[in-house]
Amino acid sequence: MTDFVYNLGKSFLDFFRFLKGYIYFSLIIISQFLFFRLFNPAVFLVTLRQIYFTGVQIIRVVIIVSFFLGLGLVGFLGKFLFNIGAADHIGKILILTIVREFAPLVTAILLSFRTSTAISAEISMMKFGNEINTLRSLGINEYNYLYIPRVFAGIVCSFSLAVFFTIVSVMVGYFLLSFKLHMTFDYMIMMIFNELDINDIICFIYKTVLFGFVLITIPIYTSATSVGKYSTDVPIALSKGMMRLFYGLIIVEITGAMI
Amino acid sequence: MKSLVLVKNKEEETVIVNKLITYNEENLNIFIIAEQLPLISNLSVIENMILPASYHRHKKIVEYIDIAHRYLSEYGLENRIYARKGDLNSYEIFLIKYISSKISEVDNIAFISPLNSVDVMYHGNLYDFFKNCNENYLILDYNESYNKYKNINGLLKMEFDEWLIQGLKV
Repeated sequence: MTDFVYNLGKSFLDFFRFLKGYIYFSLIIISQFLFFRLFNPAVFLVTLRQIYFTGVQIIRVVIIVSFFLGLGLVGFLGKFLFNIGAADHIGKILILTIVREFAPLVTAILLSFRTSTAISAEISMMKFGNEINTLRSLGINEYNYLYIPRVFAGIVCSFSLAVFFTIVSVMVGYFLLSFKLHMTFDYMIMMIFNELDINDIICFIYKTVLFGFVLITIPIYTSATSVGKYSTDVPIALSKGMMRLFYGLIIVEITGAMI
Repeated sequence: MKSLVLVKNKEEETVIVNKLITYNEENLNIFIIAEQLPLISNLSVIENMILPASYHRHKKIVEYIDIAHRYLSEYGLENRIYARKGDLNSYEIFLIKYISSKISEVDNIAFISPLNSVDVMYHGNLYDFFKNCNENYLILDYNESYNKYKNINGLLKMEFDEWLIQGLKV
């Protein structure tokens, strides 16, 4: 019983300690955005590389996933709504499922598998190898050179890939609907745009931007604070960062649903 | 000026390195070449070399790449241009850091325990390097290494306390 209470208390304390540190770290990141030297040659190069790594290299996977999800979701929903005589509501249902939920969340999950793990491992190894100190010794601000370009790329790519995901899903779904239900593309697009309101757009932007932010900042913060002088700290930081990221994604998903 | 400052132990050395790092908070004033400040492992040799210059100075990256090519040829490292840290020996790493300091146009270079950071088989190359180096530099090493630097002309030995009084001037 004592152990249980001890572990429970420790978990709570660890959580609040993490939350305090992470909020402080996020505030530094946000404030450092004001001094983001994007057009500094070194920073520009690392930003481009991060956008390529985070956004471009993953496009094939996003196309495949959005293709099959679009095929399944739009095709199934369209047929189902038609069968129950509610085909007029397809626009609203598509917005609810793809624009508000699936596109931001699936993109975030794909990015977390690929980018967050890579960044977590990279920062952990840099911390373990004292390379962050090397940057400091060269007068290079680690926020400016190391963290901000990654956060910037994460936000830009999360948003862009979610837009891309939405377009591919809707297009694929349309082809299915057009064969089965003889629905024209402009009719479907018109229905979607008729149902799209400002809240949906805000929700989409809120989720994609915040997903992009937490996808990068949580692994960075965890790696930068958890890794010490032992190599065993690296896998611990990686798994800890991924678990924290999972909770972070849930929190963004819940708060986004309130919009 | 070429100076040699002798320290007693690793702790003293670490304190001094940390102090020297604080001189570079805003800009690159002293280039510190030390084993405990390794090359960045996810960058290639050329990227490591031009990193400080491209961050602090205002030339185009291609100009730095040209300069880096010239230095690499001069030191016989042209085939190492896209290598990573793990592919280099300790003396090559030392040279890459030195070339980086040259590209960065830094006035002062601090070599921290160079004999410890380079394998024994390259010590001869290292002595030759220091003999031929015409920069303003400071070598920080342990007391027991003093005899090993005796043959380097123009190297001014400075007591640690004296150096402290001068405000760790490089």
